[in-house]
Amino acid sequence: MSSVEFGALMFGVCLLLIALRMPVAIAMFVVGGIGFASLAGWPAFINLLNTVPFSRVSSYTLSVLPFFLLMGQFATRAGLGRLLFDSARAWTGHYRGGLAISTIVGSAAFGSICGSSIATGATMASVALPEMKRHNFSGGLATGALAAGGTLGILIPPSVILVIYAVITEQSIGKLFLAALVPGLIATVGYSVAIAAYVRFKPEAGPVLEAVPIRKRIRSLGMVWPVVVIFISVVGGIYFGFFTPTEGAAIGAAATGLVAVASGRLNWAGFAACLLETAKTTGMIFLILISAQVLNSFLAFSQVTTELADVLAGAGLSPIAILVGILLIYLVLGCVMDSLAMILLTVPVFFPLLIGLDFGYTEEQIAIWFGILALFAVEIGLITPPIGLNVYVINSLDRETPLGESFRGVVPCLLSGLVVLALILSIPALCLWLPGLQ
Amino acid sequence: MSPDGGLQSRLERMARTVALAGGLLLVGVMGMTVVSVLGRYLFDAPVPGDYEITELACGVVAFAFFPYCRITNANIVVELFTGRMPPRWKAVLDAVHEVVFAIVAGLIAWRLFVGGLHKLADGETTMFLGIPIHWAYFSAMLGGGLLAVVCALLLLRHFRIPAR
Repeated sequence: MSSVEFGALMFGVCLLLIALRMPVAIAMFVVGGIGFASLAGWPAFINLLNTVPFSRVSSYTLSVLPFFLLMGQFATRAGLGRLLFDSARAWTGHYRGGLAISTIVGSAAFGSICGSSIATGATMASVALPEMKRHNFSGGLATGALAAGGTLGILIPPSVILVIYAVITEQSIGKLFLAALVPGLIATVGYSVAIAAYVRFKPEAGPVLEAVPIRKRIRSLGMVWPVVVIFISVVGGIYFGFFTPTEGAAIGAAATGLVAVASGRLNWAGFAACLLETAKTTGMIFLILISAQVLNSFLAFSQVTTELADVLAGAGLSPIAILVGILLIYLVLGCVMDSLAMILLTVPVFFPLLIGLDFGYTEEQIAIWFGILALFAVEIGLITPPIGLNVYVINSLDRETPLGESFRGVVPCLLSGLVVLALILSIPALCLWLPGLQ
Repeated sequence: MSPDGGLQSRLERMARTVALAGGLLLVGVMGMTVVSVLGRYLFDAPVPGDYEITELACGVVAFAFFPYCRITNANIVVELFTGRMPPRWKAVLDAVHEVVFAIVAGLIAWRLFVGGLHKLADGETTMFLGIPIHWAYFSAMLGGGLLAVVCALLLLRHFRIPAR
């Protein structure tokens, strides 16, 4: 067996172990370790472990992740979810299905200071779900809107997935954040339109609320200024180079922490809870990062990546066909796999391949464009049946709604997500224009 | 409660304490970074060596988080394909995975220690402040070692249950 065949075989074994309930990080580590040791010998592998685990996580760039995760925790504790939802509701509540649209808009706003999809969904659910229930919204629409809204947590910068993509492809975090902004806003509008269309066919699903006077609406906007200030200073500051992404994330976390303290909602027990939640998510991500490093050492050694690129290049496929093929793989894999693990497993394989293709763009343009496309494909996977993770998480918070109904409720948003993905695929300028790459 | 239960709750508390310590270190680095940025723009005086402090701390923090992440089952597991499997089979699979997890954790902790010894022998330090790198390795070893212990304990618990 050639080392390329061996590499491909072991990659399959890794997927199999993951399907057999092995923790994703451990499956990647074991397969990468055994593979590397068979090609390079056990002593080489053992020596690799002297430095790889620590040096992988002891990284200035990666420290941006725990800071952003901490920032999201502080934002939740500060009650910013409620403020944003209330403000969105003042503006959209009087339309049919308005509270569901407020949920989408509120989630997008919360996503601007939270980089995680699950945290955004869970925070908004605690605020919006009781309100929608109280106003007799259907369980399917309520949970569907929340699950879709949660995806805006990673689509709107800051975004954990984009940070990880930036680290493995060595792209600028600031440019990727800015590139995600316009598509993220389009996705927000798309979800809102999808919900408006849905309640046109099913008016009973989304009742109308009394309109709020315009003065009160404007006042509600005044309440959310800390979020606007933090978002603009963090993302703008990173992009314009006033500070590094890590510094931006630390400043954002500190500012959000101050807002939480000022709100009077952050006591010592809450502070400890924020740290522990950050510990869980950071630990989960960093363990996978270490394992991905081991697996990639093996894949690079087996040359399976370069071989795959050669095969595809020789197959006479057009670059855009290859790109579409990759996105289809993401959509299918996304239905059954965790988004983070998917990015870490596949980007090292796909990225070098794509960079070598001729799209008529520079390498940096392709890298940013593909990053946003991959982000959207991953996001769609989070709300696709049968295991869309967001739908599960939100559904588990609402005991009265069966899972099937939640999945049916998310379908309009899912379709709109696919449309937005197709839009970015056909018009790369949507993501390249704002960071000044077009 | 069995003696194992007592040991487990003690380990849980320990993992929690270590994670909180890591969290406090993270908050400390956050504060230092804010001070450094302010110092850079206001007084033209950043905190010296702030990048290398952040870098080393990030590694130590990550390892401090691993045991808590493990004991709260926060690591990602894909359950879709085994959803309809009989519980007994699932238990067998999970037991196998826990053995593997324990081996991986032990391997990482052991090599972290050896790696730290190498750094000590080489006398490697950070560029700017001259912080010895082996300090960071040995601090991370505490987290890595606790992770291995937690894995071993979860494993023991698994094998004790069927014994009646």
